[in-house]
Amino acid sequence: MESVCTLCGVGISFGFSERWLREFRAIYVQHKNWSSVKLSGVGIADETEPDPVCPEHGNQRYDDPDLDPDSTIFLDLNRANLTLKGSGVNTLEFRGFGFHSACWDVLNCLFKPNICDLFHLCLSMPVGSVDGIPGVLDWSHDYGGAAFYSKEDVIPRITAYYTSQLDQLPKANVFKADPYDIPSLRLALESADRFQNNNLNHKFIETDGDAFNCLPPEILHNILTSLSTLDAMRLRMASPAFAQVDLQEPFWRSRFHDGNEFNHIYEPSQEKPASWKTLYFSLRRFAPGIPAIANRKRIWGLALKLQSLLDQMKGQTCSGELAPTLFEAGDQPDTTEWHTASRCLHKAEKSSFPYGSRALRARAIHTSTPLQIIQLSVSFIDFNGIRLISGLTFFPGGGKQFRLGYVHPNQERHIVFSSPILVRGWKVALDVNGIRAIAIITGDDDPSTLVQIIAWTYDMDILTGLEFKHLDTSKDVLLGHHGPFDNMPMMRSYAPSDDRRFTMAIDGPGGEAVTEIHIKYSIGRIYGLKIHTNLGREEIMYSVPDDSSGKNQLEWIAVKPSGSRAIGIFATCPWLTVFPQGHHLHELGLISVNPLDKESNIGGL
Amino acid sequence: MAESKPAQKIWIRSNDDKTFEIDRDVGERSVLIKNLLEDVGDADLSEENAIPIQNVNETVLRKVIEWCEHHRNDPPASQDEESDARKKTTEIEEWDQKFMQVDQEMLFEIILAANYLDIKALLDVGCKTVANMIKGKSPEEIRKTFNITNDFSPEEEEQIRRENEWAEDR
Repeated sequence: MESVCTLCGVGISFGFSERWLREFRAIYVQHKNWSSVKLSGVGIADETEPDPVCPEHGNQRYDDPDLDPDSTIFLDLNRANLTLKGSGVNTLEFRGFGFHSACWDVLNCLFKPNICDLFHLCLSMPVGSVDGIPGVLDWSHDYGGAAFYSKEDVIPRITAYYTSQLDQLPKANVFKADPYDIPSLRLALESADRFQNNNLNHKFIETDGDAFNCLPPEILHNILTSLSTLDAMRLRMASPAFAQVDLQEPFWRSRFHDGNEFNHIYEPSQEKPASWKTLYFSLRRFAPGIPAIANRKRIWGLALKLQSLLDQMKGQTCSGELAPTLFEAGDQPDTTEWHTASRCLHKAEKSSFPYGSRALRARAIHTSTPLQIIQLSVSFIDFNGIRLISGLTFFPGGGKQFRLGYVHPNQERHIVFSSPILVRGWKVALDVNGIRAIAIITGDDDPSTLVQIIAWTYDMDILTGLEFKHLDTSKDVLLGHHGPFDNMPMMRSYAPSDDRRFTMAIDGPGGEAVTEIHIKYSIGRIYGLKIHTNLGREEIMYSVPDDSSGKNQLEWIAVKPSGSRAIGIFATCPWLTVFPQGHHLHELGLISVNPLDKESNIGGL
Repeated sequence: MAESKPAQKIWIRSNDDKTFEIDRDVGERSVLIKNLLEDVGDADLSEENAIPIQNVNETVLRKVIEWCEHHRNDPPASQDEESDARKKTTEIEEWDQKFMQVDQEMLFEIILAANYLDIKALLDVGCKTVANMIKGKSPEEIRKTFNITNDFSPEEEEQIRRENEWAEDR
């Protein structure tokens, strides 16, 4: 069998000679009992078994002499597609997410995860792959270098290394070192009292000009203990009072606490060393050369990120009226026809997906009249360094409120409107992992102040940015990037190459409005743009030059609004996360609305 | 329904002779006051016989009482010291952050008072507040923040640099 550890991103494979890379556990469910998540016992990857097999119960191991073979289960691990069959003839009865047994133990030294929340979190995560190895989850990080983002696709795709590829990596010895059982660490602990103490004798330094002089040494020591080592050192460089404080054992012990350099070394908290100071200095000296400690540090960092996500999920419920999904069937089938913006959001059982997230839950609010609000509160979660929108609270006035999604009162932004506004639809900025920004399409959205459209192209003909200039400049919008493009991480194919700016005037105040756009499109790039307006104008803003590339032969493709009136244009920028300095626009679409008495909607390419 | 007992009052006096009447459980946030109360005995408690808080003036004592009142129902600190300490951070809860928005002199006075009165949680908040003012700053920025005169001679500076060079990033 081959799979990938959900925490560390390295394979669980019989191809490894290291036993810890073959031993695994899983959190799993039987059939589709999503709320009944269990922890398996420790199994081992075996070349004779194509599917992962392990003991059913968490307290069992594959090598227990008393293990009843009937209590082992075959698992479908880390599948992108819930209906995808296992390698056998039938869909496997048990499905879940695998961890190296050692990684699971490290995770549990940091915190005891709620396995139900953890399972649901994993279930929604994008699932990348490498041939033959399904299931490296995309947590928006590259597992400290143990996986990578494939740059061949339009949307970055997390990819694990083959077992054999791993050996080619400069840090292969780190990735293959057991992060849990580290004999050299035990040795350092046992001999922590044998190293020489390096007490230094202080000369008395004048402290008259130091405000901290008024605090007794034990308080100064307490402050130093609260600081990172680097901050403590800088403070001692700045303040004579602090410079003369002898650093005692509590200070050295705190270097092994959260936020400090040895927070991943938890063994001393279980088995106290004779001297924290000696242990600290021995690790400062030796730890950088020990691959297992480096791997522990990497995996500890990944576990901290996972802990942060699970902490944010703790006790949270998804607010709103349930709209049935595969994950939550509900009592009534949902017959509502939804217009959804879902760049990378996949339905629960859609075919395997290497990017985006799986939709587990859907919620709705129903109101008898069009929704007017005086306040909107937007909730956020921090997803491994990216702030994503998790929920909304609508305040229609009269003390009422409607909650939708995951509302986090401690991580909320409140937007109060001076007068009630009508919610007709939404503009959303979609990242691969979720929604980064959201704007309401109100009853007041009025394109009549648009006066100019500017298109920016890179290397002659690749659309990179669009600007919309209005009479009221506060409404000006830039989609993508405007030139000059000195640092663009893209190859130039023209020689000489040039970046260009094209303009088109629009008489918005005179009633002119964009009705359609036409583009020349090929393999994720836009090579021409034509604008149609309600005054019958049809203007080519730019088109690929007539050359030998054949791109000028591309047909114009019409992009029409789904609603009756276009009020904006949206674009996708596939590489923004990887190349924040800029990249081309991948797709264009029109944001539109219907007359007030109908639903608003979003249409596009 | 049982009638709730009125809170027992105690009296404490600042070093500038201001007497405060406070609830006993508020006063007992201070280990020093708690121990003194045990020594004095209930019979001797009176406004005239207020417990003297020798090292703390009225302004600071008022501030400390405000903190104790807000935290009067806090659960006792965890006994699992190591596990608690491993999770130690410089995060401060919102109310305490606002409480600590005072000038530096007052901040140091509160820390000293918390130390004298043996109110560990308040002492921790004070130390964390100072630590947060130091985080991420260069030595020069720290000196500016706390108005520290750079009195180091070149030899002293070199000595301190040498003593602390182990902490350099590797």
